[in-house]
Amino acid sequence: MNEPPKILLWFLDVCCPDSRPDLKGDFLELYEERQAEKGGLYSNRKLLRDAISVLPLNFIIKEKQRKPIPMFSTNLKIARRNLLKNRLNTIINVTGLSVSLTICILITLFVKDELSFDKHFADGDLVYRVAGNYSQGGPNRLNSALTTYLVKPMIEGNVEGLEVVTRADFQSDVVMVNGDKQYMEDHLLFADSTFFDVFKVPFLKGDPATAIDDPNSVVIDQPTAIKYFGTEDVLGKLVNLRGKEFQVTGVFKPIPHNTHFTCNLIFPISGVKQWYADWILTNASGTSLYTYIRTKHHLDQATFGTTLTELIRKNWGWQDDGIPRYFLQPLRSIHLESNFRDEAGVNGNITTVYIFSITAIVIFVLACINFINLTVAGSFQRGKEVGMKKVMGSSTRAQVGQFQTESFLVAGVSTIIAIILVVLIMPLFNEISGKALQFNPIADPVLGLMITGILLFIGFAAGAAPAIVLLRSSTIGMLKDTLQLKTGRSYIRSGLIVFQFAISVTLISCTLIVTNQIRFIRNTNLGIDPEAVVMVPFQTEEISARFESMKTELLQNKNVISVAASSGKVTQAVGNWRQYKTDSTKDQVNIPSIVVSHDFFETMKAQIIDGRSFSKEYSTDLLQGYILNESAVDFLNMKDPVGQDLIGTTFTGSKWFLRQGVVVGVVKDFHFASLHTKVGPTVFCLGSNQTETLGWMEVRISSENMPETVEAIKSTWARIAGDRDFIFEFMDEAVAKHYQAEDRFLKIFTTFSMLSIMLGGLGLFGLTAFMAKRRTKEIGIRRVMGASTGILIQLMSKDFLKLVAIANLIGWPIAWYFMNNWLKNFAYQTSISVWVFVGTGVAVLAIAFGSILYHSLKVATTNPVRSLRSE
Amino acid sequence: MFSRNNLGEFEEIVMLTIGVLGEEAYGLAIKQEIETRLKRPVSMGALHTGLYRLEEKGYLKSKLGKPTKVRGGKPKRFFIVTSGGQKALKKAMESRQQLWNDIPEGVFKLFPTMK
Repeated sequence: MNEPPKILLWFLDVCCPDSRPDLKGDFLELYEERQAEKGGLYSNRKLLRDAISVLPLNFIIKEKQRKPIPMFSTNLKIARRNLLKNRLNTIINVTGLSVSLTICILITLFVKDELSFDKHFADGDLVYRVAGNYSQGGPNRLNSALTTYLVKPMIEGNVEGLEVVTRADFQSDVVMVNGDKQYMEDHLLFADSTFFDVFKVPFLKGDPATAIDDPNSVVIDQPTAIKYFGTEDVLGKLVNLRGKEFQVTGVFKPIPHNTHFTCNLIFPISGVKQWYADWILTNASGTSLYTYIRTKHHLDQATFGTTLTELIRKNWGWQDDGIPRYFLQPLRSIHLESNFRDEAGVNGNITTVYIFSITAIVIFVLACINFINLTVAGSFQRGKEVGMKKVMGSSTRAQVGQFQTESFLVAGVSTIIAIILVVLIMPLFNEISGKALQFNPIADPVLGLMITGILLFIGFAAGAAPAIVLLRSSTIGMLKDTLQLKTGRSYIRSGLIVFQFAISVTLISCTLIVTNQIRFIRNTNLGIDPEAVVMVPFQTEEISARFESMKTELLQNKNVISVAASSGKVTQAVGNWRQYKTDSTKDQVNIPSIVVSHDFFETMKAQIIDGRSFSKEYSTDLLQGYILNESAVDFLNMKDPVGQDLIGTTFTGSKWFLRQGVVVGVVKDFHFASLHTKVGPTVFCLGSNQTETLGWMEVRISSENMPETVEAIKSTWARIAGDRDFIFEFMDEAVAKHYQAEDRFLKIFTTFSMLSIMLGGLGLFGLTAFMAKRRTKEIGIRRVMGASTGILIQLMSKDFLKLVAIANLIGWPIAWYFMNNWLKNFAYQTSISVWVFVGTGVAVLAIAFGSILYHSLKVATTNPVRSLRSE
Repeated sequence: MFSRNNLGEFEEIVMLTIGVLGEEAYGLAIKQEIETRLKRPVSMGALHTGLYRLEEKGYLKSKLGKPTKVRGGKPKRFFIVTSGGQKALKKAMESRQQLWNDIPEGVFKLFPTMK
């Protein structure tokens, strides 16, 4: 006998009402007859027509026999009983799901925030930042986000498609209000009057088009207005910066945190220009300000580059290969894709966003796998229930409905727990990630939909899976309780276990490698000793001029070991680019230079390996002395550098001078900044009031009584610096900040790997529970036959452990590949040790074995009389 | 109500066929019996709808037979005409007979003797 094609059978099922099984029988009987008579094609056609003809019957019968509501309440009742009966299983599922869902929500929030950067500016897709690729002398080039002051006048009106250009310079300084109140502002912005044409910042008061046209005007954001004046009505009020009064002409809405820069006060460049050194205003190769442009249409990168090169040749008369190469960065790509020197803020990283997204998905998939796996395994205990219902005439739909009610219940409870967890964890997460995220699933349609979607998916999928498995099995088998897991399906299960543990192995290995690298960085000798060094910014030139008297007074304190000063913050800037040549016939090369005071190397505890340090005994040091670091010696290709000539430049307050210098010493390479970058060539020279000013003071203090010493420094400061507030930072903390990103990375990775192994362990734990139950009798017989507990445990755990071992083999190379790439971020890196993988392997196997052990042991030690009696 | 006591033509045929088939009256058999006797096609949809409606009215009763290996393991549904159904059939037949009887002589020239 021949059956109709599957698709027709399915269609028949759809057409025939469930309550009329005879109808389908009639169809099939008729089909057979027709087929015998006139062949398959004819009978297929007829069957299709007949099936359609009974469709209306569904609607006639339905109204009377379908009663979904009482069924639903029964489902709920059974579901509740069942979940409570298998408490352990339920707890495992709810824990796994809610924790992973929490992680998913948090990561979604994080990723959404990262992707939202700079999107809030109106028409921001036409805004670009001009960044530069600068020669360092020879073939060495370097990207910087900064450009020179001169780019704006050069490109204005000369680049096709260009609408507006603005420069931006972020500064920190003290702002005075009402003549007495002082505020240290870290986010001042000096910008051209066109700033608000490029960045359409919404104003609360004043007119953005003309706000900073006047050189004596300033615009401030709303919180700053409240802070200064206690009101938003501040138009016309005065703000004092460096002794000059500026009139408030506008109040703007605070710049959202998801912007690649921060600023609270915006001053017009026209009003602060007098404070810029000459070289900033005239040096074509300098890197001092950001340049942003708004264009009429999208600009072509290559065309822009060549246009600018031509303009530079024409306007600046620059011909050789050292010419700066300018290029465009779309505003919206800056946060995630740009990571140059001198970025305006801490930028994100597109790789991190990818890693996080993938991890979130993976964790979620893991939890789902666990849930489905456990539900299917658990449902085999319910063969009798399903079989009995089948015999009593329950429809397929009703049975699937039963399982889905249960999975919906679990998923629903997990979601609620997850939402509560997210709300609770939010502050902690914000601290770790350094963000200010907010969770509001109702106001946030994407997130709300995501959560609902996940809930529906888990409910449907996890409910349907066991129902399908069970309903396909034979009813008789189910009732007799001889139902076996089919081999084909157990391949999928094994695959899922391998997948789960492979992910755990990958994550744990990665965590260990990251930990190793961070420990390596921490323990690497920087070449200087950042412990117990207080860094103090001078804030003004007047205070900087009083450095020597401050130093004398500070050194009277026995806890102050030494005092020095430098042009910039030593943990941050590597110095300004200056041009040097070793003799007048050679080409000039650019080398970062740092202006320091006497005792600088002593205070930093840097090692002078050749020649001597700057000394007051040699008065010529002030105008002629140079100290190079080892890299600079190599860079300049000098042999036996001490005593050799070095021609540089110096600024004497108003003019640049050629400085015919002599190298007096060589200092061993040391790191100011992070180990991400190699130590670059650096030139040190002495500063003074007449030449170049010092910006920061470094005080090395004794490691004992540190708080008292800092208090003492503060009172000295108050006597000498007058009314300026004392601001300070510990150097070791400033150094540690360079590794903040890695620390975060590590914290998050640790959390993820713990979670993944926890989920994996829980899954295995649940699975063995069912396994053990199913094999109770077998184990009992084995025990009667004389098997020892050890052999029995081996029997129970062997298969699982084999899978975990395979997972290790898969996880190791993946971790190695990713971490090898990650380590390339560092100029100084550890090698990946084999022990990382061995350790991970052992740990994961141990955890897996531990999860299995509990139930195995329980089964293997029960009295066989008991287990054999169980019927 | 008026319509409740009156059988449609198709309904009458179905019920009578069930009577003819006796114990073997299930869906497909009824359909085939009508088709062979009356030489007219009967769609499954129409037949089963009719059967369902008649059962609702209380003229038919049905019960499921035992499932067998043929017919895809599905049972047959056997129908019998209830006493109410039989009365309705009889009433329909009688009212027609009455109408036949009351036709004046010579009007139906083709069947002069139908009385």
